[in-house]
Amino acid sequence: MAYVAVTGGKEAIEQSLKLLEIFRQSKEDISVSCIKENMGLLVDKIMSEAGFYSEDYAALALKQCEGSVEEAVFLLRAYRSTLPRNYYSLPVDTGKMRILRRISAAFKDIPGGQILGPTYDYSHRLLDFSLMESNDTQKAQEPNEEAEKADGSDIHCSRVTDLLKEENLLEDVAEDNTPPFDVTSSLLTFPAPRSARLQTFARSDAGFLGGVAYSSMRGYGAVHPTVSELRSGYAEVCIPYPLDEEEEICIGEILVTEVEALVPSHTETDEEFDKMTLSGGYGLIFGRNENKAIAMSIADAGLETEGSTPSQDEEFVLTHGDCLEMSGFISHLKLPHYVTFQSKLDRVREKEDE
Amino acid sequence: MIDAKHYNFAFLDEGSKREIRRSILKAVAIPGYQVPFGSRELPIGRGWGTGGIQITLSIIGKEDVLKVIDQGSDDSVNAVNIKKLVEECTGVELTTDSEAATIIQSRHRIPEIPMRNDQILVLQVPTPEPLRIVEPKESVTKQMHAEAEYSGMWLSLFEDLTQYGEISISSEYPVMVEGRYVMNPSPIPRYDNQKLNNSDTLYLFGAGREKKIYAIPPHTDVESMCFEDVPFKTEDFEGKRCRLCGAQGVYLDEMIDESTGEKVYECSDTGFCRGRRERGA
Amino acid sequence: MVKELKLAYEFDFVFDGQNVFRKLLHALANPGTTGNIAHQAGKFAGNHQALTALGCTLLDNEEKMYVEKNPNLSADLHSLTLCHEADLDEADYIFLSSEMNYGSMEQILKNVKHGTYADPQQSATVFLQCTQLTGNETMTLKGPGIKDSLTVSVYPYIKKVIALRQSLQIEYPLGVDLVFADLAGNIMGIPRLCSLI
Repeated sequence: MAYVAVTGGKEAIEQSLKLLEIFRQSKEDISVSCIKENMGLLVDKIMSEAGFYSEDYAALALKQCEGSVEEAVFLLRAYRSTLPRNYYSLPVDTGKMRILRRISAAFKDIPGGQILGPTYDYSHRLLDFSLMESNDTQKAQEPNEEAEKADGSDIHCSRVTDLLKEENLLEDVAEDNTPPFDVTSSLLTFPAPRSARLQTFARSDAGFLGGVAYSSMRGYGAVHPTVSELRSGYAEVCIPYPLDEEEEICIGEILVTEVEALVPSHTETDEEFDKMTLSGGYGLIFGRNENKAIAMSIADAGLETEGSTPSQDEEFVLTHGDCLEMSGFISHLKLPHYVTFQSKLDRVREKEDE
Repeated sequence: MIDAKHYNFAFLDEGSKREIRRSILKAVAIPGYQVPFGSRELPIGRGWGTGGIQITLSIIGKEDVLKVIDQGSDDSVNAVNIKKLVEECTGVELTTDSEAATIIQSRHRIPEIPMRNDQILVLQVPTPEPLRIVEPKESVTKQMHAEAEYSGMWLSLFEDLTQYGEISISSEYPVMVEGRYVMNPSPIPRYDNQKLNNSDTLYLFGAGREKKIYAIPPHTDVESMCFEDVPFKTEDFEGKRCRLCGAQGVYLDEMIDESTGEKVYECSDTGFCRGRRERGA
Repeated sequence: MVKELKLAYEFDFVFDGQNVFRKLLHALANPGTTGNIAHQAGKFAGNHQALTALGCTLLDNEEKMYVEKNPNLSADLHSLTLCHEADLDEADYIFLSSEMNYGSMEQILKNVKHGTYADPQQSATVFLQCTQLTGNETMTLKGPGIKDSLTVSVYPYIKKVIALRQSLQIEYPLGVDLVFADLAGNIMGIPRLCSLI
């Protein structure tokens, strides 16, 4: 049948939801804590794109939707809409984070040293068939000394860029304490303040952001940065103490990955030649999410350059990377368009008749 | 699923509702102007009517009676899905009778029976910016609206006219509101455009993904953009009638009769059609 | 004090707030007509119940308000909604709890935010309390929301304020939206495009 209205909608939806339940059934159930512990990087990705820091809820969302990233992000974002916003945190000093991993591609020796930490970078990507057999669902509960050490480390390091600042090689940027723009409660306007850019990137779909950064590095843009520092670790979040706003109170820690990337730039001077300096791109992402953090720093730096490539087009880059918006609009094409199509047919047929 | 322990009445928290309400009031004060708002994520996909749903959730109260239609149909899967969400988080009464409803949320249609002053029609909008067809950048179109600089839009209509002999826009036909703002009436057919002008009812438009709310208050001047010598034309259903209720002069869905293979027609507004048949019987 | 606190909380921010909003929406969509929020406003104590109910419907810590010479109302609105006070030319919502003379009113309407051509919504909404809405002054209104024209008998202050706003000749889409509220909980909306004939 051609363009027949979908009727019996209610029954159809009920049956579809039943089928979904059947498809989701499995012989072995997986617990939320199991997802949280075994799929940490996936949980981190969900939290980052949802802009919602809760490992438990991210794992719950994954359990609920067969592990679909976009559905899990969707679930968290929708839940987020129902939560009142009682407090705004004070600025988080990521320089003081408790470090898990920290590397610099700019300098071999950095104060505090390179800390490789947990990374797949130097692993060989060979399928480990021994994992096929292992089935120890209940791991021993006795304390694992190595694991304790890996998580309990109390390493704090100064930033690599501090070195460059001392030498006056970094572009001089004045401290900016204007309250940040909030992309979750206001519509972006262009040119967007940097805080809006960074928030948008931080929640951006990792694939989209990767594509933007990759295009910029390959030649559709001008940014091929040096990673001054990449660090992952736990940062404290504090709010003003409600009874005395002069005091602050720590409400917990978040695991984040931060990247500072350096690109050459120039500063205009009164003298004959402009001064060459280094300027920075910045990335900060929830969880261990290194490629996205690097991509974010490139995308950020890319918008500071001028040109006509996609990565330099602020409105293009900032309005097309949200996981929910893109998947929502793409999937809406599955909705009926009978009325509008009828109207189109009316136009086309009228032409034929003439 | 939507229990009072985890969720507020009408899903959104009160802060979100207040923000949307403030935006709605501004939209009413500046007819046809797209008021930006901090669109919230909903349990339904962005692009599936979340702008309309956010408006509905922000205005609805326990006493309201809600009707939701998609493409004119009460029973379309998307309409059913939206109704179910609103019902689960508010407990309001639902109806398919457009005259019994206090709020009607719709996608792509305006009901056939003229709406009253005590009713509100909430329309879902995918792409609110009418100037997007001439300019992709929001920063530029915003400025065009600021300056009422619509020559690009007129030019594009004129070029269309010279290419096709008439304006080829089918649905989502742009209108001029109170002689000031060019507005996208949402993808309603041209047939529905006339219902926006000097109507008794309040129209609220919500675009969730694009984060805009706009409004047409009752008795507002709304004109479809066209040239003096080329009058605005609505879809032509001359000589066609609904095979179920026999209605003529209404917007029809075209379908193929499975047994004969012939083209047949049914009312696009299913509530209107059902009402006619029930009264006729 | 205890009694006042108790009364303040009889207003249900979810359901009463929704009710007041709908009445306000109807009032602004149908300028010159009268709505009534007495039931919800009555859940507050004090001499400015309607203004308080309207404030509690729209205000929160994301917006800024200006309250003319009424520290009690200001304190109430702040403690109920967490909305902060701002200067007249910064505020989103203006509350005038007593009738003002021509000069002061002119200063207020001149100096409140009118919005910009790009963002006309960034303008102030002014809530004005008066003894009553109805009176023996006849005014005829036109604009969106009104079929042809509408003639109503109002309290003279209302017509004076509208005429004053009109005399400022603020170019649309810039403007100031007015909402009048009386002691009996009646409200009337006069958005920027509504004018006297």
